[in-house]
Amino acid sequence: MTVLSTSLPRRALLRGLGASAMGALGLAELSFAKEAGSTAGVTRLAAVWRDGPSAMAQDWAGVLEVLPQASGGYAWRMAARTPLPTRGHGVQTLPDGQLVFVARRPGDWLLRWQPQTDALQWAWMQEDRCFNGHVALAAPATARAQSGAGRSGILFTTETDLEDSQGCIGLRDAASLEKLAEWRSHGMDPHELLVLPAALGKLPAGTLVVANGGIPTQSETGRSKKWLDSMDPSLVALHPADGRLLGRWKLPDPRLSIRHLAWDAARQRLGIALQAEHDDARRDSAPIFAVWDGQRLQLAQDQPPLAGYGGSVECAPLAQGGFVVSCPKSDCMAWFDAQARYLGSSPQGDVCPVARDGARLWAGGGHGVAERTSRSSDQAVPALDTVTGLMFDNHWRLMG
Amino acid sequence: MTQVGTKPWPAKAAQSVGRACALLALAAMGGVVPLAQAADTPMPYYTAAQALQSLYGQHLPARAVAFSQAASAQDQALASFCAGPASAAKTAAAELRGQWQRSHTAWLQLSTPSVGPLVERRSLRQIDFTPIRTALITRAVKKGPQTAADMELVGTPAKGFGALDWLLSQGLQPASPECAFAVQVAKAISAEAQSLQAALEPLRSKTWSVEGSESEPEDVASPGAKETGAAIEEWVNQWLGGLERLRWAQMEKPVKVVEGSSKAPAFARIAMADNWREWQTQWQALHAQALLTPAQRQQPPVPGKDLISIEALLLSKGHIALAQRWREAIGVVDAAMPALGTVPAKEGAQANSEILALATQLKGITALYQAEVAPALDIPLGFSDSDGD
Repeated sequence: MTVLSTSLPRRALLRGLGASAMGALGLAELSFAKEAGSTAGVTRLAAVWRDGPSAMAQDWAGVLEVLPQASGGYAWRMAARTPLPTRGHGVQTLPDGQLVFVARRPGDWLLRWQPQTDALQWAWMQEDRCFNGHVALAAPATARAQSGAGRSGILFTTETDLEDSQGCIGLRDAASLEKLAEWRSHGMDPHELLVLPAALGKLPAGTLVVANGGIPTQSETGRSKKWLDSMDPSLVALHPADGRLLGRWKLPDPRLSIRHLAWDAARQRLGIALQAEHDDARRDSAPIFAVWDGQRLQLAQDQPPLAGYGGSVECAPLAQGGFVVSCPKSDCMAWFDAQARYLGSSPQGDVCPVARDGARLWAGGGHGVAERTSRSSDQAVPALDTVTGLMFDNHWRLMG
Repeated sequence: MTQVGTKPWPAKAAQSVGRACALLALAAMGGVVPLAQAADTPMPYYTAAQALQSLYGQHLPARAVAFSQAASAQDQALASFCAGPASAAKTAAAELRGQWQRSHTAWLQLSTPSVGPLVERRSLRQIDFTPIRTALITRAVKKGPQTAADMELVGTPAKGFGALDWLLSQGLQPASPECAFAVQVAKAISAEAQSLQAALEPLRSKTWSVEGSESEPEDVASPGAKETGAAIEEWVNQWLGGLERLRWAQMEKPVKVVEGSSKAPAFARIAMADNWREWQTQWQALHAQALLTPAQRQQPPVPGKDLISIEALLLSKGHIALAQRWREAIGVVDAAMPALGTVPAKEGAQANSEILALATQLKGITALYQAEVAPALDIPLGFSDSDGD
């Protein structure tokens, strides 16, 4: 069955899945806490969403559950949620089940949340910095090198220094969220970041890989993109102990913003979703994907026009590996092999958040959620809840 | 051409009557035309170039002059005070505070929202950075900067209006290091005001290129038309940026940050009355660019002479119903915002609730602007919630 194709705008509504207003329900009416960990076969996804398209609608961080149904297939529901002051973006899971969410750029909050107890810890950006939307848990090597780090470990956050618009990496205690140190990201507009779980060539285990989006921004103009002629995106590798620059890689076209990352541990390949910022027709046909093997960047090959926009990237649920890139502006998921060769696409309207769960891929967008096991095999996942309308943000994170 | 914000507005005859056309369409559909609207004069079609001509030709230069004069007066008053006798300190304190308020108000009227030279020069950051850092101010006082070059080495959280606010609140004494530093801060503000006035002056007579026609391929827009497109996009985006700065950064966030604690919100200004004055002034400045004046409802704004507001542009493009809702949304905040010069009597939690309620009203405008107003003006929003990341 093919999952939906829609002309609705990006992050369009999930509509018509029920009658009552989810926005009126409180946390007590959600049932994550009492059932957490007790249901076999349940997939939990950390997510960020908004109740509806209006800026008046409430932003939420929460947990979605995908549950196997007795009749076969799956259905999803909201299992827990907590309100956010502004729109969130990235999320990191912690070993104890807590989740850390960060505001969309230019953001000013970081939230650690225990969905089972609803315990919250906020950190507000008071300094001359803003959050850029992503957070990652550092390797033990980083925690060991940071005096003052607690047992909970270190979180990396991508940030911008509002004085000079240069990128920073915040090192924060995962328990208190207090900033312990700061590294330079060696580029502008750092976005997603990822910790290498094992050594890769000369790069030690725990190396921090950062996608410097390269778009000049300043605090006075928020998300407006200016001075695109001076874009300078890069992928950088930073030493896990002290943040020193271990390597920097650039694409031949500086208008390709390097934004999102996924690591294929089996093949030691990094999948990279790109967003084109050309101000002419080149944008439509620009590559949306690249791979990195620790030594070089390889742009997508034989890719058709996909509106120049990759919203998120995930490892493909295939034996031979590869990656999928969600393309909400061209209403499909694009599939690439580990050498960045384009394999084809699967239609799904307004698709953006994706998360791999073993041999399955869960993808959100358009009017719902889809389960996908290959490029040609997909199944719509209906909602169990009385959800009238919500908009998923770009990313999901599989919870353990 | 697919460049953000440079999409030409639909070309129409200069005096085509968008509103009248839309009214006819409404009538044909059996729609009911509100009486207030029916009393309005038909609105001519305004191009982006005309809107910019009004903004940069009249509105901003006048405000830049006012700011420059107020900043200069503040600078001179402080210099005179600091060189004067200590016995005058008490009586002069109120006057100095008044100078600061007048200068700050003139700055807010110019910089809300920040466009053109204000963005290029990063003026807001240079002279109105918040939050201030008092430790940095103390350090700067000890260092005793004497010149503009010395002031370049002082961090932004230790200068500008915020630093002056704090220094005044500490009880400035003539011939003191604090006073000497305050004079340097005021001089820096005055210098920036003059620079802004100078930077805006050439734009007063600038000819903004008219956009291409609908029949013209988008990718053949001239550099001049691109510049016009970028400037109108900046204004539309920055209006929302200014609104969101007021709503979230200045009003709502300080309250949210201390929710559940016994701490008081850390608003930008030391006195609550000055916070309200700041919010009210910003709202006035945003309002001026949002709606037609009562007189303009009878006599449409003249390009190059009168400010062409967002409402005027909506009507000019035939978005009658949307313009009506826009007016109503602005009116909701007008009714909720205390008049300039008045400060709500409530304190503590009650005051915070009132601030949050007002912020919610402002968010209503954000919602309408993002969802309908900016798209109706054919302007993509960098601040928009509809784009990805």
